[in-house]
Amino acid sequence: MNVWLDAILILTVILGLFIVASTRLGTMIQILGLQSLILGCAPLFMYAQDMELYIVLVSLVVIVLRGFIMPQFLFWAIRHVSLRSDVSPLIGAGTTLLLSGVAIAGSFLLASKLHFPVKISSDILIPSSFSLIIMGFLLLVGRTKAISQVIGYLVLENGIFLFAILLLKKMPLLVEMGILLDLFVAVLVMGIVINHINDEFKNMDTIQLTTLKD
Amino acid sequence: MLLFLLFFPLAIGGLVFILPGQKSRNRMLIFTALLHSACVFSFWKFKPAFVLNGFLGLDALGLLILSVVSVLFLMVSFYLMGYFKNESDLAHRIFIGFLLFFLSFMTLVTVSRHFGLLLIGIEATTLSSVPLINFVKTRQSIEATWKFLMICLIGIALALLGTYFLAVAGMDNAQSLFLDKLLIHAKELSLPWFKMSVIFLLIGCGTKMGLAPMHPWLPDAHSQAPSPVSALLSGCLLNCAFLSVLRVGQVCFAAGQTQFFSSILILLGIISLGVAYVFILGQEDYKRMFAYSSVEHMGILAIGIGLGGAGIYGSLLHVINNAFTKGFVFLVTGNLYKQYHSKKVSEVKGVLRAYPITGIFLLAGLLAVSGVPPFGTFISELMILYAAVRGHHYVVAFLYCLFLALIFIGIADIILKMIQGGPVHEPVIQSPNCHPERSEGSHICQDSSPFGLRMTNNRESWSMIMPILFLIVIVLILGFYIPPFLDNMLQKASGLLGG
Repeated sequence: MNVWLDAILILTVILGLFIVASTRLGTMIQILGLQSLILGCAPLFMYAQDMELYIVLVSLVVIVLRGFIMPQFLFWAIRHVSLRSDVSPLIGAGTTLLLSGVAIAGSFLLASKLHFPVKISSDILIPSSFSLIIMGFLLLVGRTKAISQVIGYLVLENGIFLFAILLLKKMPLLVEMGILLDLFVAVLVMGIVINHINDEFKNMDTIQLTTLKD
Repeated sequence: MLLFLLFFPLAIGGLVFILPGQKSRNRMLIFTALLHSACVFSFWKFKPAFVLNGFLGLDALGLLILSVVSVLFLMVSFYLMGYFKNESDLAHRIFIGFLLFFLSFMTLVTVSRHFGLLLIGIEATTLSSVPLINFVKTRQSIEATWKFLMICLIGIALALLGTYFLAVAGMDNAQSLFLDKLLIHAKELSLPWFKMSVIFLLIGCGTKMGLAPMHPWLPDAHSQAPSPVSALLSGCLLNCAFLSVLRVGQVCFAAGQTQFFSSILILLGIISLGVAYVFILGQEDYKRMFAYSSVEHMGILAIGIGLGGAGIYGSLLHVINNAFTKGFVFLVTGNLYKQYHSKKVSEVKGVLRAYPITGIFLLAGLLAVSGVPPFGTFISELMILYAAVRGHHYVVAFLYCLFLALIFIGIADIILKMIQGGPVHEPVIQSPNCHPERSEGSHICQDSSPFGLRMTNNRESWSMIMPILFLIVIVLILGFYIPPFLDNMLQKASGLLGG
């Protein structure tokens, strides 16, 4: 058993719960950065026995891009907004937290049913990946601020990355890097659009985006 | 050759950002589009080799979609010559640049032979189309952009998860996500993981394709984007997403899981038809109406593929017909908007009297979109119906006919209202400092010198008519005659899917 890897996985899920439970945007971004940072180290521990150069490379890119650059950029995107917390979520923080708990339990149940073709060095990798994905979804549907939705999307992507770690050796570097680059550009574009929303609507409540409907 | 096709638009797109002068940028765009189509058509004769360790390659399916993309892009770039009049320099730079990036990434989708690369391509098309959709930067367009961005990115994230599941399914044998390797080892894939991956991939790619119930971004984005962009979204982007669904279908067919795959697609297809019908009926915004018609046609494509056999051939033929028809109608709405400055059905009256050419086009659009005989859409829709009856899917056939008939009535009602009668008011004159597609809130643009402009406004300019005419002529010809080389390619492509 790989104790360090388990510790990292548990930590990411707990940080996910922190994000889900908090309504202050600044805190959410900071915790997200921390979570991504820790996540970036996971491949290093997972493949500690047979390390290869490109695994270090992927780790490094994740740590730098997701751990440092993206949080800074998200802070830039909300710099004009006076309101710093997501005051009126559609689903309250308490409810979301409760649902996340259920999601974690469900993920463990689901993962125990699925048979993974090869031996994994940690039993809790797949369940924690699923839990993060569901938590990301909860943030996406439960929050009204555009920036919290971006944070939700990134938590979801973190969950997917956790799953991708399993396949790191099977995926060509080109594809791995392409996906990371795409994600980075996506966040960049979202930040710019959020800025447009800020300018045009004077705040970034997506609840106001309701002029287009049938 | 494939690499050239991929990187040339990308390089020119970068060059356009530093190029001074709108004229030279427009010329660059036309030049690139022409060269792109020339390359693509040379591929019909000389099959390009696989490059980049087999990451890129072109098969019949890819070539079919690539040709559609290329031709439609060429026509739209001709149309754009007359479309932009008084844009700010920066906005024009960004628009043309991202248009070329968009072309390059769509090419990437059609030529990639690796599932990971395919998804990268799809995500890149999403991101590069954001500045195009948000071109006019009004409240509505920002809202549409945000919805488009969020929904599509989440869809792609799910598809990415599906791709990883696919990799897990083939961990013991295929060992990679290369399409060709997966096809060889398809029968040995681990079934539970494979089924999960198919579900996630279909939901993810279906989101991008605009299948209901994952469609909400589509009507917003299509109605708020400038009309040439709507034409590209509807005719090219949706088909690229459809190609990714077909790739999943290829693996399913090889794995002997066609039943599973087609039941999902038929279900999504029927839901799409139903949703399209509900929202087309009494629609107040004509661009939105055509957007819902896109949902309908994506539903038809999904049903055709789901039915298998002759349905696959029909579906692939419908890809071509639908792409050109949709390109056609959205470009016509561009003309209409230039003339009436409104997207409201109630504010557009007497088109046939005031602008005869646009009026006739609109009428042709109505017939082509709803698949009425002289047009190619009729043939392909009929083939899909034939496949449904032949395969004893009577319920599907019944619902299919019912919804198509109802949608025809819905669209006809709206379009006939628009083209008949006399003009209710003098068309608002276009002012030089007001973009044609600034939306409703700011469409009353006061013009300081109305006299000189009245003449130019009433004339329907040639550069904005010829590309449209070309598109509808293709659809019309396909209604009578399918050329042997196309038939051959369609046979080959549907063979890949077991049709």
